Amino acid sequence: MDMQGNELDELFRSSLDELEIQPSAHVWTGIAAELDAGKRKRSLVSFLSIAAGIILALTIGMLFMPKQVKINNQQSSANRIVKNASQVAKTVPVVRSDEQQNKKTEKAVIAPANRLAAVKVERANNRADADRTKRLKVQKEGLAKIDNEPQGVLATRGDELASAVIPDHTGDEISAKPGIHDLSLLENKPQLAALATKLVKAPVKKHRIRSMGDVFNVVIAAVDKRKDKFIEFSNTDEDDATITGINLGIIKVKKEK
Amino acid sequence: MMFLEPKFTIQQLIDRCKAGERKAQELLYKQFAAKMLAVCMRYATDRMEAEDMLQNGFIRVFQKTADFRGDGSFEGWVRRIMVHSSIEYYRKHHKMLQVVNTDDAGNEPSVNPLATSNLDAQVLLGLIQQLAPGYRMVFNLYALEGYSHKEIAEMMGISEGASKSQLSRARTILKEQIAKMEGKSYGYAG
Repeated sequence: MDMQGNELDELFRSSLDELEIQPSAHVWTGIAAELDAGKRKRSLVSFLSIAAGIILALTIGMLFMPKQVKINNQQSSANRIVKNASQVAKTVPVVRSDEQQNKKTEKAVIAPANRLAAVKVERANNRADADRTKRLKVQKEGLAKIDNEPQGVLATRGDELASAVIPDHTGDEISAKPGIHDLSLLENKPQLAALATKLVKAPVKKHRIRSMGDVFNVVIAAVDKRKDKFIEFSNTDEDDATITGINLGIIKVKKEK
Repeated sequence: MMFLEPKFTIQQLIDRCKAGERKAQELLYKQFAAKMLAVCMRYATDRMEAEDMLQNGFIRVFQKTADFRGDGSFEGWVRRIMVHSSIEYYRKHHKMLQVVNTDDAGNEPSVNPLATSNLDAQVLLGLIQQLAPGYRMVFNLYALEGYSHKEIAEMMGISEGASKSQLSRARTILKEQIAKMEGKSYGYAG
């Protein structure tokens, strides 16, 4: 009886199906080593991709961050008022130190009367920030009036100051200061408290940090007390902050408005 | 199935292997290594070649464990990888298949199947290993793995006709060898 092809196949298949041969120990060692090598390669690749991702995120963040700050300022007006109020509060100590400095130099000017003192303090402060007040001709005139009429009624002076301050875009410091000082002085004069509150509110609402330029200017003003700051920025809403003035001591450049 | 009892354990090992756990990989390797080496041995000339095939095959098994979807048995999946690893090894080390004369295919010696039933598996394995690499590959793939000539032709990069003729030639040689051994074991010449 001849064995057919498929019979031969079946003979081999059935015989070899259950066969088991134990491999040498080095086979597993080789497998483990190869898998470890692959793992190291993969972990390096994943490390590089994570590093690249972080760099990309930082780059995008740096490119778009300034714009986002601007948009936020424009959008959340309610938050802005709150922020500005706190900033106004913060600026008070700085102003006070200015007062002390100025008082030293202008001892003779300080009058005994509360009202007169307030006027002087205002003048002194405005001198400290003279670069700003100069830009505002109206305000300058108002201050001149105050100088000339030290005994002038506070309300009048306040009105003038308010009107002078309103067109100012340079930041909170100037606009906030009159209000703050008036308020502190007016604590003794309740009949004018309402007027004072009005004065406080009006400038705070009108004058806020509108652009990145304002932000820079405020920060620089906190460090540089000179008339012409080390660097000044435009404060218009439309563009990104552009430099309007540089003061390097010898070299002074200033763009007139 | 013979793995009915530990099958659940194997499934657990597979899940842990998918997570890349080395200990689970080692346990899974130990579970199948002996069986798979027996498969690789049929495709190899000697044990050293077979262990190379086994090693490459298991590396691929552990690299691709996540690809195992659970259709069919895991053992069958591992076995297919071993077969492919063996084909790859063969293609790398024995590039040319021997050209065979198809005229020889018809002349098969007669062997009594009943007399061969008690032939030792190791002996049969030895017979396969002695075949020329090309014959051995085709015989394994067709007779033992059940691939068609078309599939073998694709896997091996040969024509279907070449696959058929090599199978035929391999069968002839094996029958000759078995007949020779039968003659020895029963005390008369084949």
